[in-house]
Formats: sequence, structure tokens, C-alpha cells
Amino acid sequence: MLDAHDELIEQAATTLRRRQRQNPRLVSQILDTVDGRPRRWYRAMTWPSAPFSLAATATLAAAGLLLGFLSSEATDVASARRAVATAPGAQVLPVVPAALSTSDATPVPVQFTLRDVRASQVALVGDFNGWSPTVTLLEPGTEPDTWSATVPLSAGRHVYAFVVDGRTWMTDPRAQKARDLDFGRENSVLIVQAP
Amino acid sequence: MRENSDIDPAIPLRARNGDSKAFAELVEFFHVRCLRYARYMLGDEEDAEEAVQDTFVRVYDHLGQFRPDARFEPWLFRILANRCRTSRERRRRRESLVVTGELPVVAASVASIAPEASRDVMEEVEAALECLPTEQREAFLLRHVEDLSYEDMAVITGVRLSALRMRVKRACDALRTRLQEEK
Repeated sequence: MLDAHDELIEQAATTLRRRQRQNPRLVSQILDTVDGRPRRWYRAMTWPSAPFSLAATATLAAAGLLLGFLSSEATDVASARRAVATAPGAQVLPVVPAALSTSDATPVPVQFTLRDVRASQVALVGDFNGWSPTVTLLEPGTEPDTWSATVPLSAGRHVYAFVVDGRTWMTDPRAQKARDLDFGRENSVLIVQAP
Repeated sequence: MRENSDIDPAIPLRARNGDSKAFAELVEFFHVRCLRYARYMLGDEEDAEEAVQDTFVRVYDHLGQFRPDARFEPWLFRILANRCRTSRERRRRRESLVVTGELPVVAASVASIAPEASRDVMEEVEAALECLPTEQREAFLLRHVEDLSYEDMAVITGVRLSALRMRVKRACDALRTRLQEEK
């Protein structure tokens, strides 16, 4: 069904298109609003690059420093590892982010760890780094095929995903999913509790 | 008649990589069309400005999710269309709380656009547009005013092509009837 040519409708559309008002005040407001937002703030920071082992993550989590992570599953790293060892196809093991230390005044450092036997590069993207796949690259961990990065996050709800080899968008299968209507893509959800 | 709606594809990519000047160029280039669309969808200048501001801030925050091989225009309008829907829904809820027992504001606005001999063409067309159901108005604006393809509209609305074509046809039929009545 194609649009039939209709002079009356074309005239109406032309009339409606005439509403073309520049609004410099609105442009300034928008640019002022985004100026200095966390995306830039984050980009300006340099994060600690020291990797943390899976064992350290699990230990700290067990020690009660686990953040309020919205996952219905228990944080059983060992069982997840076994699943990876036997599962065909994509072999991905995200490890639940855990708090490494807390402070009243500063954001909480959170460790993100991913196991992917095929990855040669892994990036963390989320609302905390402007969804940029170049800002937070995970580093090879001490465990084989493991990648990790530590990111200071403010308290509250954060949405994130992993980008493998610059092209594969990957949610955390053990975290709650959130679909963003604007972008049509699923991400993972993390709740960071105030220290 | 297609407006000059194409922007150098390198600009969104530069903005994505953190170039704030490129982001400003995007805002300068698209804000007029965004304002127009939001104004027609929301029927209120202030709500339209708020929706457009919210849209560009959201674009800024999520530029990292913009695929380098995608076109920026449908991506932007998808966000804008969602912001407009959210704004309408918020207003509907607000009005349902505030005007209990009185004539709803939406009904009042429709009543206020009854034919008048003195109304100019722009007002007539806007009044006819305002009478369309939201989904038809959205489809008509995207297709005939913003001159987007049905494929782009499907990306923006998440609605199938056949359904979009039906919405546009119904919108045109309704507009035609109303505008002919005015004459």
C-alpha cells in the first residue's frame, strides 16, 4: 500500500512544515545541562588498573561486602564455572560485582569480572561511563580467560553491559535484565547500596 | 518535498567519541525539527521544549549505544517519540487527578478548535491534526511532515510496516475529511 498523491494532504504537510523556529535559549539550556555531566566526569578520571582475582571477589562477597545486586540467583561462582566448562557455544561467565571497600564520601569501587574463552578484548559499558566502549576496558585477570575492571560507582541503580571484541553486546546472564525502550536493547541491572 | 534533513554521518560519531562541539552541532541541526514534532504531538510549547531537552540529554548520556553503522536521525526520533509519549502520559495522569468533576483539558482543547471563519490556514491544519488519535498523528507527522521512510518509522515506533501504512492512510482520510469540511 503506497501513499497516494493527494494535493490536499501535501498542502497540509507543507503548512505544518512551516513551523520552523530556531530556539537559541533551548539550545543553550541543553548544552548547559550536559556540560559537566558524569559522562565527562568519568572520562576525566583514571581508574586503578590492578586486577582482582575471582577468589578475592568471592571472598569479599562472602564477607558481607556484597552490594545489593538484583539477581534472583545465588552468587555461586563455582557452579557458574562448571556450567561454562560444559556448556556448548558461547562460554561466558560474568562474576557478580562486589564491593572492595566502602567510604562515606566517595563512590563505591565495584569489580566487574567476565570469563569469555573467545574474547580478545572486553569493555564495560554503562550509564556510569556514557556507554562508551573505549572508556573502561577490562584487563586480563589471574584466572584463565578472565577479564576484570574496577569502577567506582555512586549509590543507586546502574545499567550496564559488556562489549566483547568491540562488536558483541553481552548482558550479564546472572543479573536482572532491563530493556530500554528508547534503544531496544537489553542490559543488566546493578543496585549499589550506600555505604 | 524533503527538507535538508541529512547531516554529515561523521558528526554523530565524533559526538559519540566525546567531541562536545560535534554534540552541539547535532543539537543546532536537529532541535528545530524536534521542537516541531514535539509541539504537534503534545500541543503545548512548554511541554515540547521539555521533551526536546530531555531527548537531547538522553542522547548525550547514551551516545555510546549509538551504533556507528546506524543512521542518527531515526535513532534520535525514536528517543523523542518515546519522550513525547511519556510526557503525554504524565500529563494525562496529572489531569485525571486535577480536573475530577470538570471538563477534561483534552476535551476542552478539542472544543476550542471548532471552525471559525477568521482562522488562518495554519490554525485550520493544526486543529485538524490535533483531532487525530495519537498513533495516527504520530504516523502522519513522521511520514508526511518529517518525511521519514516507513522503515525508519518502524525503527522509531517499533510498529510493523503494514500497521504504520494503515495508520498513515487513516490519518490522511481523517485530515482530508476535516479540511474539506472547513472549506
